[in-house]
Amino acid sequence: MALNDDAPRLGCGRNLDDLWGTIDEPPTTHELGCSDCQHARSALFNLAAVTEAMKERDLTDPGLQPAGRIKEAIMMVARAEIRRSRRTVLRETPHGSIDISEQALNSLIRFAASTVPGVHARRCTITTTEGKPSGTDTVDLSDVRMSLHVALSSSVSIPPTMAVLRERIGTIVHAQTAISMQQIDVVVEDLYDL
Amino acid sequence: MGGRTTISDSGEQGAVNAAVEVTPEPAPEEMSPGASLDEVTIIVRAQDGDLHAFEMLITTYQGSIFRLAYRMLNDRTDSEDIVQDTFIAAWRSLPNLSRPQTFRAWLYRTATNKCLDTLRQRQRRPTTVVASTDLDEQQHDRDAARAVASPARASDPATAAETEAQMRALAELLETVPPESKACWLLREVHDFSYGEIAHMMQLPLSTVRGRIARAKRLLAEGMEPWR
Repeated sequence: MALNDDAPRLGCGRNLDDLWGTIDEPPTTHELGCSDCQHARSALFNLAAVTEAMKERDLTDPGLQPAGRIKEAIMMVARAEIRRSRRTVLRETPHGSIDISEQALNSLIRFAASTVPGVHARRCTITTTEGKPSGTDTVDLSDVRMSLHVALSSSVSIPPTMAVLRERIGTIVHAQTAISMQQIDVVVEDLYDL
Repeated sequence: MGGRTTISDSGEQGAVNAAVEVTPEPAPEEMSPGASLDEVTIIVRAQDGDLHAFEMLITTYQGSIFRLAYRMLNDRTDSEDIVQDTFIAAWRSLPNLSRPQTFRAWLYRTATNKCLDTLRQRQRRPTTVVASTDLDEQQHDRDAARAVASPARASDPATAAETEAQMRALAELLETVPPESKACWLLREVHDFSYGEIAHMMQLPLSTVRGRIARAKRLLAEGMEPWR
């Protein structure tokens, strides 16, 4: 390829990037009559073909996957650094208190939401006093409020689905923890299947 | 029990919609065959500290991050270190990611920067370069394994051998491309990022990214001339 070293241009002045951009299209009138373009086109076409072959092969090459211990090592760090947030006391016993972390409560709420078809639970926030942002203290068991962001299937009707969702979350959280939710706000932020 | 329902338009629909299979959770909907969570939901859950969601992200992206690192560094151990460091950094920084739709680009940006750092360290301390004969042997072993695993390719041994040789030549040529150009070329041609995404990722002007990719193409196309 006759190329200028300072700028990626061919001897005929054409930008190499422009030529690459049209490599899958038939040659233009200029390209048909320009030896620089013909030569570069042929070289780039070969490069594109080999690149594509390498890309496809790499995707399925078992040798180009990290060892299983890498994921285990990452998850070990993640588990050690898990953000459990605040805790709430579920019950006082003669032998001590039983607490649940906000993170565990969030998981329970997401599980409850996942039992409603067409609902993907996303971000969940627990608050204790209306209008007051979460602090770092323990959660007041008698005044638990939550806000849940969800993505819905475009096929569901929102009002009845929200009613079922609230009922399901309230029931499951109460059954599992004895917490009675004072308020369940739901924000539909996306339709996941559009 | 009270509550409000709010319907908002995030304006981000479709930005990331790759589905990831859900298996271990006991939710009835997600236990049905083919059920899946959309990727934004998985990312947001991971931001909220959901370990299972984070593990799904690792499963989805560890292979592609490893391939990027391997083509950048040509060393398996270093590439695995990049994967590990990238995802640990991701776990620690996920809560700060304001737009979950940008997770993939954010992950690649982290990995690319770590690869470039590794290459700079190698230049300062050029003591751990893998001998080319070792690399050739590793490649030969993988080629043999693939030939066994892929009857279709092995059915035409001459063509398969030619293709493998060209791919090996391309991989070796990549070693001669300057790191920044190589990174831009890999992100564009192998990992399908747009010029704009790469410019944003590398914090470079679009023209610089175009120039680097064009230079990489020139070097690679010239290097592949004997194979035409």
